[in-house]
Amino acid sequence: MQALWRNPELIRHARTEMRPARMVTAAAVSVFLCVLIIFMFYHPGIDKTSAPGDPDLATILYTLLASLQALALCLWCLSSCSQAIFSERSLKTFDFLRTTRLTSWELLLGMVFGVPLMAYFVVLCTLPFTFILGLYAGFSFLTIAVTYLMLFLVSVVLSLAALAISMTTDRSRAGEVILLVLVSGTAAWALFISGGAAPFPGLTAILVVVGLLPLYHVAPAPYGPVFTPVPFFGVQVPSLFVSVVLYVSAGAWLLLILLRNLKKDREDIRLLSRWQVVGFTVYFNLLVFALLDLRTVHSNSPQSASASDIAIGYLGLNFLILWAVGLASLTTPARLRSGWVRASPSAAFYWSEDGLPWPGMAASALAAYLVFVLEAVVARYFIPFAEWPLGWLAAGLFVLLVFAVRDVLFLQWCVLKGFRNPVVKGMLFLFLFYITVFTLVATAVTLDTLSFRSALAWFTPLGALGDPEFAAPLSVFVGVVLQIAISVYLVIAIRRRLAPSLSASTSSNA
Amino acid sequence: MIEFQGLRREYGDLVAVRDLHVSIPEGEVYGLIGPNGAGKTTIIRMACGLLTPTAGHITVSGVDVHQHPELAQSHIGYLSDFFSVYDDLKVWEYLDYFGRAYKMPDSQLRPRIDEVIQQVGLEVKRDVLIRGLSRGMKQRLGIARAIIHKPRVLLLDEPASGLDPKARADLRNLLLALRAEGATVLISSHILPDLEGFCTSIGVMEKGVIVRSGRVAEISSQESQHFCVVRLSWVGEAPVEQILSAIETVSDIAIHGSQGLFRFAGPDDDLAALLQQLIARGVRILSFGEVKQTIEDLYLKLSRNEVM
Repeated sequence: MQALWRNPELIRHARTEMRPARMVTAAAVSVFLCVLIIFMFYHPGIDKTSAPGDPDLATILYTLLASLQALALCLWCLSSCSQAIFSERSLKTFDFLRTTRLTSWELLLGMVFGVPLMAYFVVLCTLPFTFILGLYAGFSFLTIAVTYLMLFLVSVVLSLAALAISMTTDRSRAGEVILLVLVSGTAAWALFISGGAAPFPGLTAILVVVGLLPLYHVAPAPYGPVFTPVPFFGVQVPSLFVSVVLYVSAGAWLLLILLRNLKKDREDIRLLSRWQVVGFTVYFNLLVFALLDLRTVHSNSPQSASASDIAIGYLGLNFLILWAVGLASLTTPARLRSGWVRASPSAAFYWSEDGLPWPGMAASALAAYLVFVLEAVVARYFIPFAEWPLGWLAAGLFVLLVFAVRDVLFLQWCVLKGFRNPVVKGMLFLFLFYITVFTLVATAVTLDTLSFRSALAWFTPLGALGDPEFAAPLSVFVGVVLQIAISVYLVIAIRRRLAPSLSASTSSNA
Repeated sequence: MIEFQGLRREYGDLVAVRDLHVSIPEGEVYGLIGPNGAGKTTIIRMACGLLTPTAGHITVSGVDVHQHPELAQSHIGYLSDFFSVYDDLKVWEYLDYFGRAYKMPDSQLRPRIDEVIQQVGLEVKRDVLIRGLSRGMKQRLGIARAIIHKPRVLLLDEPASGLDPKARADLRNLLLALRAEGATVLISSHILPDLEGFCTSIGVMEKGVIVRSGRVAEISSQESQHFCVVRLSWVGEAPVEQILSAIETVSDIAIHGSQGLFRFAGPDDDLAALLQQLIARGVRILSFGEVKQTIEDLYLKLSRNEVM
């Protein structure tokens, strides 16, 4: 592997972006802006009470400049990286990169640091101002260094996310990506201000600034309980630690997705392999468990959650995970046909990497169950092991798996059918289906709650999410049988779509 | 050098390439000819590892392209029909980038860049930003990029598309020079005169299938055994059309004044006998000879399934 500074992709971006005239202009403009902001605050006409050497003023200026740097760097990374691969594809230059000996890792490394290179340069030019102001304000060198290291980590993860989006889309998504991140950031901030997301206080660590504030000795009073250390696997740890775990692990998954797909044709992209989706399920379940504050859920107050409540939440979460896993392992038509031609005479097709997504989903459901059992064992000091409804959870996971497989097989059929934006269209159809079912069932059995639940259990996974003591097993069983029948029909429909390949292959072999 | 074994590629319900079996030996220049949509680009994209085949295998220099793409790609130089270049780079920087991407050692890269720039005739543009180059120059730069790492195999997809006649002539000379250096070339085109005198073998494609493949000389000779086109001219008034029409092996007679063309199906002896017959009937022949078949003629014959 080449050293970073010898990476051809990075060198190309450096040559393109960092021509001397452009560098001088960027440096001059950014330094001028910093000086302008500082003079605006220090100008005696604006605030006569503040002396030029006032540490409070230095704190305000440090905060302002550092925030501007963070905002500029993150938005720049998002904007440039979300267009990087897409624009190379549309200019047909990406094919040439794909035919070189650059590995996915080298290409990715060059892109992550090369595409937003000018943003890093601008931050570097203004860094002396913030460092001097921070030191003058009384913050330690280590505090400031940690702040910038966290900013670097966040910008890299955002760049990876934007590159992953750029790799999978057929048009520029810069606007949508930036909007999504801004909305998510605002939502996380609102969550933080409102006192945290009990029983998941660690979730606020998505906002890195929450973890950074204690380093600056900012008074916790206005920010509520989440400002204090947060639980992670039952141990109280600094919020900054959880931030690092969240961003590093998210970055690792994005890295994996990019590395396995970057040099592939867009039609051949599948985000994760069969086994990787199982790994993702285990990771996500463990992460949620790590962030769960068991002390609050199992307090003696009547509002506290029971083991059954946690199990229902776990089922709901895993239905979403199974859906995500199914989406991530949808097989492209080209690969499905290729897998079909190679292995159609045997059952190996159904299990192969180029087969249908359901084996990965089934393995994920099994892994989720095992993780839950493990968590029940670990959490026995808070909730006795006997209280966990493990049998009911296994049945519930199976029911959810059947429904998720039905939905994902339908999406797979849409992909194979050749719709434009097949996944979006398929999801829209499924949404309409669920809405219709709810409306019809609600209209038909308005007053009888048990009938309502039974009818819903036939067509939706909600039967599995009901109270273990309240659910009607027969209607859930009918629902499962019905979904299995639909899934078998979908597999037959998919086989029919693949049939020309089979017949052609057979004739050519003959 | 390049082997296609049972190659097949589908896009949805469309079979773009169907059961392709072709072997291109070292040093051969193989012209893939056919109309738009015949599957030429799909074959070339699969050959350089950009597309995964639905079925079948491709080996380049003995390396399976889809098993070991990066190793196979070190032997391949690829140029597509319409492409962009990095406009913000200088000519030498562009080649330097790809040389590094092909992991050429620094000691070899600098001299190789100068050598390639000279080879494609861009010496005076070496330090110019690419955005200042004409379309033809960019095409030449594309060729330079494709050969910077001295590949043993060149895959060129419609390299002359969109070029003016002068640029096409330059490109042709450049490719002839590469052929002389021993490169194995797979080139696709639907502008058939571009391939004339350049290809040693051709494959005629229609609807994803190679309808005929082989060395140009052999195919041409085989076709001549089936029929040939004869051009003749004579002096004075003579019933040439009447005489030719009476002969079974003659067809498609076109007479304009004292010149004519006709199609003759039969061995060379019969053609000589026909000439004797014309002279015996009092036709004062000025010239009489077979029209040399171009690749275009061959393509037109083969693609109409006249010999299938």
